[in-house]
Parts: sequence; C-alpha cells; structure tokens
Amino acid sequence: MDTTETAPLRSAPVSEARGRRWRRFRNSDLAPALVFLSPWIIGFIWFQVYPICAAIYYSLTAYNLMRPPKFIGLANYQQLFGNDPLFRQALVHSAIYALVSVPLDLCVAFVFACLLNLKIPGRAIFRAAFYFPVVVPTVATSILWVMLLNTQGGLVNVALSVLHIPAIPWLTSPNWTMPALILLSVWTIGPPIIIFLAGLQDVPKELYEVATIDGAGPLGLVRHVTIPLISPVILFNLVIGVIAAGQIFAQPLVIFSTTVSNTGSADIGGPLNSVLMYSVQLYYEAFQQFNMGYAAAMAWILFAILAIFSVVAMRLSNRIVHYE
Amino acid sequence: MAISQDLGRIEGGGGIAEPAPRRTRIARNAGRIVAFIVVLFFGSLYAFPVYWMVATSLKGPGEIFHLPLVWWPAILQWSNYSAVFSTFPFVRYFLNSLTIAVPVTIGTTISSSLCAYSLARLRWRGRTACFYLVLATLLIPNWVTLVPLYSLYNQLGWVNTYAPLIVPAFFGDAFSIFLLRQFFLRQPQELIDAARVDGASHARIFIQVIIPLSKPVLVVVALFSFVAAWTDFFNPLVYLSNPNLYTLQVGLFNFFSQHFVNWGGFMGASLMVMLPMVILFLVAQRAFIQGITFTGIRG
Amino acid sequence: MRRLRRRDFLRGSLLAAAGGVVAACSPGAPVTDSVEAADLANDATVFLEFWNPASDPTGSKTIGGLVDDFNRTLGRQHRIYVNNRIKAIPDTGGYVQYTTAMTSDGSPDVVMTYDYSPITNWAAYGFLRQLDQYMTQGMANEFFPIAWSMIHFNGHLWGLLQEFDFNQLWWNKAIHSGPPPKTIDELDSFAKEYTKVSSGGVMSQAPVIPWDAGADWNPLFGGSYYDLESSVWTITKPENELMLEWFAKYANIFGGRNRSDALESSIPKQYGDIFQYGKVAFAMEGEYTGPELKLEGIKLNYGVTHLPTVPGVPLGTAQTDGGNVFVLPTRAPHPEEAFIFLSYMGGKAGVRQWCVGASNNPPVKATAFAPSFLKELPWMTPWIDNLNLDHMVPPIPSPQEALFNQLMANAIDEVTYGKNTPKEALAQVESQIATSVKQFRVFNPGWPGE
Repeated sequence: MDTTETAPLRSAPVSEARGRRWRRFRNSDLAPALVFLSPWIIGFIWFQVYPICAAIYYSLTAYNLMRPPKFIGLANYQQLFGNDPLFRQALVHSAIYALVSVPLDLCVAFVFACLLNLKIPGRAIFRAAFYFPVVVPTVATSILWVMLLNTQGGLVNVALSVLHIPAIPWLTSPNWTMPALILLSVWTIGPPIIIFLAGLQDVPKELYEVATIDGAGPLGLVRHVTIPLISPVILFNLVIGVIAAGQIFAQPLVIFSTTVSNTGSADIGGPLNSVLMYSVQLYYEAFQQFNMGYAAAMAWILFAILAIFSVVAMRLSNRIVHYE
Repeated sequence: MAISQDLGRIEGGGGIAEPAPRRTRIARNAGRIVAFIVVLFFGSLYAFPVYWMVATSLKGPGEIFHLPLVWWPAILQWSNYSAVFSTFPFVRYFLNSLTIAVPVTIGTTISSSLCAYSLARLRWRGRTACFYLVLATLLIPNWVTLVPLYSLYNQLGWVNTYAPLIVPAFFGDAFSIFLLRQFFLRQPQELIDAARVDGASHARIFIQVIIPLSKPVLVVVALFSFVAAWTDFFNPLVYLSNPNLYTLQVGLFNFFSQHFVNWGGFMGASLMVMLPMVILFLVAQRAFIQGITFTGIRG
Repeated sequence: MRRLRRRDFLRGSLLAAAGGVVAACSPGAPVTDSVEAADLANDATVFLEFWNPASDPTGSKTIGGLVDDFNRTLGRQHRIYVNNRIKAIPDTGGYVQYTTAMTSDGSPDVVMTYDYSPITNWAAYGFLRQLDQYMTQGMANEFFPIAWSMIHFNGHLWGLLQEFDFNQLWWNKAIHSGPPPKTIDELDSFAKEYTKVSSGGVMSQAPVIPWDAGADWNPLFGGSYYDLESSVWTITKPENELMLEWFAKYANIFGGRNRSDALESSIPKQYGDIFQYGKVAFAMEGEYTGPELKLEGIKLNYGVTHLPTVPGVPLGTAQTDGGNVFVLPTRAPHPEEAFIFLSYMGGKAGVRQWCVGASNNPPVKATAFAPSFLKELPWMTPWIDNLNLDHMVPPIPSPQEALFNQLMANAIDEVTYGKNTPKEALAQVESQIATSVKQFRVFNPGWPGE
C-alpha cells in the first residue's frame, strides 16, 4: 500500500517491459481460465443448454406440452409476422415501455445516486428509503399502487389536486396506463441507484481536486469527471435495464388484472389492450392457450431483438465508454 | 498513506480537496444543504408508500378505505400483527426462506466472481464470445424453459426439495457475472502483472488482489442475490408443494386469500417479510462505506 | 502473509459449496404430513397428492375437513392417504404451476380448480384422463343439465363439479325502490334517471355498468358465440351485435366510457366491487356476493331477481361463469385410487358440505332440492329457482375459449371506447378465432368440433 502504487496507476500507460512480460504468459491462461469458469460451464450445460435447445426446437414445431411436438418448420414465425395483431401490439408496447422507462429511470437514478453519495446527514436512511420499493412483495406492490392511483382518494391524485391538476384515471384510461407503469418503474430504481453508488465510490478523488482547481463547478465535475469515469456503469445499467424492461411481466398483469372487476383474467392487456406487454402475451400463448411452439418462436424473436440491442450498445460504447 | 487518509474523509461526487478556500467551503456547505433538502423531499416521496403500509397495518377495518384519508390510525391495532402469527407459521416460513436465501447468496457470490475473473482478467481465445454467451442466457424468457427445466428437476428427484432453488446458484448467475466483470475490468492491470511476475498463482491473485479491491461490488452482488432469493415467489410456487417447505412469499400469498382479506394483517405480514431485507440493507450500507477505504489504495 | 495454494483453495471452496448445497437441499420434512400418515406407511398404503387452490379461510377449512374425513374413513378402508396441498393461484401465473407439474411424471393425482377456464383446454390438449369408465347409469340425470354439460363435453366425462356460479340481477334498494325490471327495455328506462354526473364531468352514480360483466349479457339478447349442438363458433351471428350496441349506448349515456372508468377506480379494489359500494343501481352478481358483503362488513339494502331479457328470450336465462372442478391428470400415478378420492370429493356429501359452507350452487339436483339446503341458505332461493327454469347457458367447451375471452374483452373495450363498430369488432374476433381453429385442427385431428 505504498504511495507509488496509488495515484498515478490508472492513467499510466502500460510500460514496454510489462507489455512483453504480459505477452509471454498470456497464452498460458486458457487452462486456469477454464477452471475459473467451470462453475458457469457446468451450470450452463446442465441447467441451460437442454432447456434452451428444447426452446429452439419447440419454436419450429406445433407443441402443446402434453403430446410430442410436430415439426412444422418456420410456420410459427410466418404466422407471427404475417397475421397476429396481438403479437404486433405487444411488441410495440414493450418497445415503448423500454425506450421511455429505461432512460428516464437511469437519469433519475443517476441524480439520486450523486446526491446520496454526498456527505449529508442520515445518508444511510435515505439510501434505504430509495431501496425500499424493491423489497416490497409483488402482491403488496400492486395493491399499494391501485390504492395510490385511484381517481378519488388516491394519494397521487390528491397530490395533483393540490397543484390544481384534475384527477388522472391512471389505471382505467387507455391513454394513462402506460404512464402509470412508467411511474411505477421510476419508483423501483433501487438496483440502478446502488450500482451507480458502487461505481461512484471508484471515481478517484484527486480527479475532482484537479478539476476543481481548474475551476469546474459541481455540474462541471459531474459532466467532465463523474460521467466519463462511470460510463461503464451507465452502460451496464442501460443494458440490464433494457433486458429487464423488455421482459416486464408481473407489474402490468398484477395491477391491471386487479383493476378489472368481472371481465376477469382474460383482460390481460389493460383497457383497450393499451399495456398488453410482450412477455404477458408470450405467457398467455404458452400457458393459457398451450401454444408452446408459438410462444417459443416469440421468445426467440425477443431474444434476437435484445441480443442485437446489447451487442450494438456495447460496440457503440467502445468509442464512448471510458475504460482505463 | 497520509494522502489517502486525508482523502478518505472526502466523498466522491461533489467532494473537493482540503484545505479549500473559504469561499468554496461555504459554497460546498450550501450545496450540501440544498442536496439534503432535495433528498429529504424525494426520499420521503419514495418511502411514502411504505409509510402507508405501516399505517394501514395498524388501522382498524373501518379506517383503511375511509374517505377522507386516515393518515394515522386513532387506535393502533396491534392485533393485526398477532393475526398474522395465528394464521400462518411465520417463523417456520421465515427459516425456510433463510435456508434458501443464505446458500443462494454464498453460492452466487463465489461462483460468479470466479467466472467473472476468468472473463475479465485472463487472456484466452473465445473469451469475448463466451462473455456474450453468458449475457445471452439473460435474454430467454423463463416461460419457455420452464417445462423442460421442470422435467429435468423432476427426473433428478429435486421437485419438492430446495435443490431447484439453490443448486443453480452455485453455477454462476449471468447478471452477477456481468456486474463483477465490469468492475474487475477496471482494476489496474499493473497490480496483477506485478503479482504475476512475483510468481503468484491466479488463485492467489484472485483472492489477494482482486477480491479485496472489489468489496463494494461483492456486497452489491451478495445483496442482490439475497433480495432475489428472498423475494422470489414464482419458483417456490412451482417447485414446492409440501406446505412445510413453503417460503415467506408463498405464505404471504396464501394469506392474501381469494375471497376475503384482512388488509391490516396483510400489510403487517408484508412488512415483516420485508424487514430482514431492510435490516440487511442498512448493514450493507456500512460495507459500502467501508469499501471506500479499500478503494483508498488507489487514491 | 499466509500462502494459499490454488489446490487447497479450490478444494476448500468446492467443499464449502457442496456442504451448503447438501445442507440446504435436504428437505425439512418427511414426504407425508402427519403422524397418522406415518402409521400407515408400513402397509401398502397409496399416497395421493391432491392439489387445490383453497387458500382462503372458508375454502381451506372445508377442503381440509373433507380430506381429513376421507383419510379417516374411505381412505383407511382402501389404504389410501391423501396429502392435501394448497397451491394458491396468483394473478400473475394462472394455473401454471399445476399445468407444469401435470406435464411430468411427478404429476399430482387429483387436481381441483376454482375456475372453469383451464378445464376445456386441459381436456383438449390431453392433460386430463377421460372418466367414462367410471360413469354410472343415470349419473347424467343426477346433475343439472347445465352442470353436466360443464363436465361432460365432446362425448366424454372429464371431471366432477363441486359447485358452479352464475349471476342474477341485483339491485340497490337505496337507489331503486320500485319493482325490478324484467326486460332490457325496462332496465333502460331508468338509465338517464340513475346516471349522476357533476357539472365537472365527475360521475358519482350509474344505473348499471354493463361491461363489468363482460359478454355475460350476450345470451340475454338472444346471442350466442358458440353452437353447442354442432360445436362450431358463431361469433358473427347478427344477434351478437345487439349486446355490443347496447354497451355503446350506455357509454354514450355516461358521456364516454372514461367517466364510468373513473367511477370504478374510485372504490378500493379487490375489496368488493362497484355495486357493493352502492354506486350503481343494478349489477350482475353471483351467489357468493351475499356472504362476501357480510365478511367485508358492508351494509347494503339489496334485492335479487332474474336477469332482464329482450322479448323472445325466456326469463331465467343466464351465462354460467365457472365452478370448482375435480380432475384426474393424464400422468397421475395412481388413477384408480385417485378416482375413489375424486368421487368422494365430488359426491353428494362433499358437494353439500362445500356448497353450504361457501354458499354456492350445488351441481347435483338432490343436494339443491333437499329442503335442508334452502333452510340453511335461504338467500339462495333465486338461484335454485333459476336452476328449475333450466335456461342456463354453459361456458364454451372449445380449446379456443381462452383466446376468445382475450379477444372478446378487447372487442368490448373497442366498442365502448368508440374505436370500432360492433360488427367490425366481432368480425375481427371471428377471423382470429378462425385462424386458431385451423391451426388446432391440423395438429389435433381427434378433437370433434372447434
């Protein structure tokens, strides 16, 4: 822990000599690499390859869970792209949800993380307050939000009425269901806040000193020091956030199945199918209509979209994201 | 050493070097006050639903849906809580949940950091492809793999045991591997190279160099895997049918029964289910702050 | 500094991992639940896994009591012991955990549902054993025809019914003091009078919010989405447009569906419905609503009568919504023993115990018509009356039913939000159902009808 090893390390270029030494033993890393990776390799083969291969095969079959699958080639995919309005609706809704909620959540989470990183009184309690929503059991979350978003006596609308804004029918109007879900997502940003906080710990303080001496204000520090240095963390939160948002399932189903009164579980998409989400429709195909082959095809389409997004995000970020 | 101690007192974000000019110090203090007010406002907003749960859990049936709103019950109905203990075996379910969540946390943290080390710090052909493969496993909706997995676990005789909920955690979790890899990548290559030149094995580098530097992220991974295991509702529901094995989340759902609900009791039960995680979080807070002294090694 | 060798390290961590796994995986309890079961374990007792969703207080008490009774009497006699597994049904998962288990050879032996919705699909896709071999002579006549058609369809017996539900017209006497309407026209005559909207457009009271009961109104207009005789979908029948036109009319009277939506979201959800809170004059409500009101502690002065109809449709017509069903999964390991238990649960004593405890309609005539039944549940009189009239309409026994419900819920939304005409909305539903039927036909040629 001597001082020579502290400050200059990050920015110092790898020396010539060290580079040579590195090259000398880099080829010997394969064996230890496989040993270190072995838990994942074993788990992958054991718990994932089989179900994933099964899913690939199902997507090319008509399969109803009980009887053996029948191979039908690409017919499921043709049907999905050719004549399935519910699939298209669900795809659009999930895309809108992911594209709006994730950037919004990340901005909010980043601001709160920066504030919670400052030395303010009761910081631990505040951090916990922002994390609370994540640990509220799903059943309780839905009931809470149905209570909070009521048009008459719901706390959100009570608060709006203070600002002289008329009550918003969050859960019953097709125009407001998506904003309601996005509002809920802004409430549950505990995980990205924590990841941002963990990332902020790693920003070397001396960089702030240097920037301050150079005359940067608080916003300048955030813009020129914090954001570049935690850009890998932003990328991480973005990729994970989009993957999670693309698969959003429980919240819309729980909230909107509790707001319908007698039309019952069939009304899975909210009013006018305004929040029929991709995973919900996929679940409905698989376990209500027993079209497992069809659902598997839907899963692979979602897989392809999310995979392309992740790869593009990471490729593009190579130029933007700052790794030392 | 003196420098890092000094810096240890300053936080990141708006922190600046001491000694600072007086003007800046005032500006900084003003900034902190503004930050405190902002955080106080939004923190209360975020915590408000939880406050509402607490208030509801202590209300009588007449007050819960009363208009105008009852902000705090006139008489605290502690009997709502005793109703929880008399309707479902809270302690047993609590222990069951713990029996699952603790090994899952340990397993996920150890196995994922081993894998992440391989993907971040060892040079080998196919490393990037392998990393994308790990990521790709996050992208498959579980509805599709549920039936093949169930039949696999059933053939192994694992259905109605905790094995399907615990064992997979010991084989790395893609989310945690990703999280850890991103952080391992940012650690100085020089430390590793130096250790390597000194003849240290990878196991030693992993334990003595990487792990101490990564304490904050390990805490995050452990916390996330504990929360995930604790809040998991669907998997216990699918794999457990013996009521003696039920977890808190399943018990809570049963409590939230189909035709009639004791609302105060339900909110009370929900709060008790949340409590261990809240405590854990407050403890983990400390670890975050301790983590800062570790990063002091790099300034 | 202590040198840690790699091999030691790996061995150590693997041991720790393995230890954790073993410790955590050994189940905390034996396979069976009670001492009584352990006594039986030595002889050739067959253990049955019985899965049911009865997590509510009334349900769990009744089901638990019945299982205990069985284990003490018939079970002991036949060397069967039933493990009672309560597997609650979440909003997020339907019967997924049942369906998943039923695909494997670890299938439960007997499954009970609280809903009718999974039954036809389970039957069509091969999840259920046909119980024809157990059918006794005259069994069909013991059931109400409507109840029988719910468990006996497409030529086979698929399960036993414990109770079934259908709605009546309930009216709030605080809003409507006169005699209840007998026709749709009479009902409509109160529409304007009972609609209360403030000058700001806030609705505080509605005569009836028809779409709350979904397509259950359709038979009252003489409509029918499915022909039971020929097992064919009849979605675009002109009569089916009447209900949707009627819905649209009410949306207009309210000044837009969003007004009644706002009214509906003004009451605490999952805790009774809009009628129970006294905000509508008329509503379709099931037989369980009375006891629910009592449990919830809501005081409401209400009346119950037959649903109003259009001319030509007999009074007493009502759509059956669902019921509790006992079925034997195809992969159930002990079908013979399971049937003994199933017929006990679905037998006269079991049905009576449930229906009296939960205040539901018995599917068996003898139970419903026994004087003691109405003596215990006097408020059930209109329902027994309805059963006597015999104009009930069963749920649609088609593998397309789940899809139809999803599409129809959306069609109702489209019409009531003014986004589509009834004719066009039905045509869309029809076309998607037709595609689905075509697909189903190719892969399940053995299933009669569509």
